[in-house]
Amino acid sequence: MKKMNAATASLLQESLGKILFSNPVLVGGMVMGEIVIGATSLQNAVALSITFAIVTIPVLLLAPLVAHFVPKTWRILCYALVSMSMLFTAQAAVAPISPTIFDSLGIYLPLLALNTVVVAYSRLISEEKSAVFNLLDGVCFSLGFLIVAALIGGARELLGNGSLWGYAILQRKASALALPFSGFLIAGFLAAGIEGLRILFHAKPYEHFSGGKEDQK
Amino acid sequence: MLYFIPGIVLEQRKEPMLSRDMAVMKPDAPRTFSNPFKEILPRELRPEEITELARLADIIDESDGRSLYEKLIEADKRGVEAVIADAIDDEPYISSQLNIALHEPEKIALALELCAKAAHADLSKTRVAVYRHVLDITIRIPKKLAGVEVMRFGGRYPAEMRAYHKFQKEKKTFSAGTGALLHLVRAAERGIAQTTCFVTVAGDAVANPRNLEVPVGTPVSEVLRFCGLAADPEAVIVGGSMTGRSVSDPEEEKVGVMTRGILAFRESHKSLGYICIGCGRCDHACPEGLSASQLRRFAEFGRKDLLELYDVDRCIGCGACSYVCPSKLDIGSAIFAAKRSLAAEKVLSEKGGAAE
Amino acid sequence: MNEHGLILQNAPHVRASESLFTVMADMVVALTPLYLIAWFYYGPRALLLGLTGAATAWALDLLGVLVCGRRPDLRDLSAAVTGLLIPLLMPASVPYYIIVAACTIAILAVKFPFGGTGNNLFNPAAVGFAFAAICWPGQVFSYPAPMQQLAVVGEAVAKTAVSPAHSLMRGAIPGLDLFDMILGNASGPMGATNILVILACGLYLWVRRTIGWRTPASFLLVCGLMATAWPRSPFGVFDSVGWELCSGMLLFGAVFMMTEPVTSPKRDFAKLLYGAAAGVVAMLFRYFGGFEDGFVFALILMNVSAPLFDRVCEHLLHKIRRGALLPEKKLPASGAERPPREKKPKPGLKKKTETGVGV
Repeated sequence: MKKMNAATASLLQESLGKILFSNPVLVGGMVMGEIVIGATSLQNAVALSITFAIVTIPVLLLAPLVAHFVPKTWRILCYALVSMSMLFTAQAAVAPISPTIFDSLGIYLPLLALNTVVVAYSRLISEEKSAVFNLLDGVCFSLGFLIVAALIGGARELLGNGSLWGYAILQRKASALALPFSGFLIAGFLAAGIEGLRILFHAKPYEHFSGGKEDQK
Repeated sequence: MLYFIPGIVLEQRKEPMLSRDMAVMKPDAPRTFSNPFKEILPRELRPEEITELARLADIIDESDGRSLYEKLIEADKRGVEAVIADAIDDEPYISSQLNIALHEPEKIALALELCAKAAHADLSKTRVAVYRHVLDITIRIPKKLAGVEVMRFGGRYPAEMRAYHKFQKEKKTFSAGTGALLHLVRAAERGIAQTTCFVTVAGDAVANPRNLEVPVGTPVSEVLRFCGLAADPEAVIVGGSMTGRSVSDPEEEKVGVMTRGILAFRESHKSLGYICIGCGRCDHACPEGLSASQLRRFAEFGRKDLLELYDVDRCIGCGACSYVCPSKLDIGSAIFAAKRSLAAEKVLSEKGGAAE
Repeated sequence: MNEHGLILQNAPHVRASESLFTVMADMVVALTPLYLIAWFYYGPRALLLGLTGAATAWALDLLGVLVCGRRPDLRDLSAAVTGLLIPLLMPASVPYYIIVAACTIAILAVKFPFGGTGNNLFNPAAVGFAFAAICWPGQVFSYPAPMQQLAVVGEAVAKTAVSPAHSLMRGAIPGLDLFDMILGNASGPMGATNILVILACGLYLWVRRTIGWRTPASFLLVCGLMATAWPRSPFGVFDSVGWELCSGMLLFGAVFMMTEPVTSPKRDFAKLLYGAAAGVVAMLFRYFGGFEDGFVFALILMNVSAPLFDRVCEHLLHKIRRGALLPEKKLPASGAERPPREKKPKPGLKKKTETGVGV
């Protein structure tokens, strides 16, 4: 069994933390808009997460390369180009979920191409880190995003529409849960829950935007 | 008309202290001074002789803590028209000034005559000022006290502060507390210097609440023992009931001229702390028109800029806001403490600026 | 307690006998006649709906307080008041689960995330009702005809009647006499149709100083003015004003919901402005909104802007207080010793406005 050195172990621990205790959406506050407005059902949530993964991970992986070759002013543009070019792949991957998936998500699916991770996080943090770190970042962010989106979307679909993944389950529905304000509410409660769990497990809080270039001055 | 000035209406609770005569603790051993005018009848003293008596007897006016002699000199210089005896007791329980006015009216009338002569004021304009809205008492306040007309000062609490300001600044009047006036008469008649002061001892833990003449410097615990304690008090207050101070050690705390009252309560109200619900009663009660609820919040969070915008330096510390609060919050003390700390900071920064 | 058995307390050492419990108990007392009248018109279902709302709200409030880690205070009736307000805004035939859902949202989503009692940003009852109105508009706005005994538990099948507010919205004339509407013999929200009882309760609350007169008065005045200027009925101005004010939940909201102390402004002048602005917004929601009475949405909007009114008023007061560039007041500590008190001399004309009761 390969012995892991301390650096790798801490890297893994940090990355695992990024799924739950340093969740990008609930703790880092990134990509909030698409979740609270777009994740109104479980299918939507899964579609959003797949798109997020396909769009963001290549950008994070390419960030060090781009930083090496491209001057500062043009870097974000490059990231945006990369993420938007991956959008076609994402849409192809998402289509089998449901025939009406693009109608129900509307603009919030393509909007994911310009999410905070692509535009800000890559620029500030990912450029300085190794490829392994960035890959782990991307995977863990996507997992975290999936968990949150699934929770929010599932709750809203179950209580608001009485169905789950399109199959009707409950009779009573509170249709106001499909509106954005309830998305914010549920996200707020989940964030409070994660904070409670973090305190319970004595985990360290994590600053997403620290450790980057600005802090090293 | 005065009801348009904001404030609060207080239940006065001045009985039974007001109806009982003033008792004396340690009636013997007065301190005399060599009285150069002892052969002269008080009514025939000349103005400068009266002022000299006030100086020799070391009389301090309990309403503002200044020496009566200085006040007379200053009044004479300023040129006053009327002399007023301050018997306004607008705080609940406290009735030391009013008690003297009601139980020793002739002496007060004589004292007013002496002061009017000393300050060269118009004798016909002397008054005894009392607070009009003391309704729950058993003795009647007559229209004239030993020939001196009674002026009923109305309006809501805080009335005494407003009256003091009115007498000192706006109208050309000289006002002195009835305690100081009584001491002046004693100095003129018997050559006694001031060694005692008048306090109201009250509260539900006191067995015999009354107004008391107490030697200055007596420990508070001795005064309470003299009146008798019906129960072990949880809170002992010196000063007024609205503006007084909580005593931590009754043996150490000594009675002074300005004490005015010693209150002993069976229960302290400190334990009832609710939450502020923003009902706005404190804002309405503030006589200065300040936003008490907001100031309390700013004081709690240390927002100096907002404290200044909301005029915290205008707080007069009357406690009306805390009185009306249904959540029993200590609004007034929080705001007043914030005001004092802000003022202290300003003084420090000015001193620092001047030193450079 | 210190070593002498004494507690140090802050001045003043006498307090008014009114407490938070009595303030909130007053509100509960004022809402009881409305429930009794609703019982008269709709049967015991009305009382049960109220009890359900109050019990749900109270239980969730207790849960929230425990989650926040605070000691529960059994004298805190604010949740019970919210729970009693919500059913009064709904028809008497509303199913129980809607009441439970509305109270849940009101307590768990509006009170606790922001800090509990005394810290809510919006009126909890308003948000709870708004949530229910968006989710189940059919059931929340279909009013039974008065004077029928509804089924006490379960679904209440009732003969519905078109409410006056709905008629006005459609451009029709309400088929009711104003006199009937004042007595409460009209179809509408369970607690909001009985105009006389609401006015009496409002008077009681005003005398007990639980609510002020400024917010409801300016609100109703502005609503009346707008009804005069843009009447929705072809008959005279008096009819228009009467129908607008007596239909829907305007009067009920003016007395019980707009005056909620946490979310309304504190200064007198700010209250007048707030009531007026709320009147304009409420009438606009009525004229152009999707629901027959969008008062709760107007209230939620205005709740957010209430501190703004307070701040504007404070700036105004600040200018007035400092107007004559007077020196600072020097006042001694609250204590036994009282050295000379100096008070700023105020010029004669300024005195009335500085300490006047209107501002």
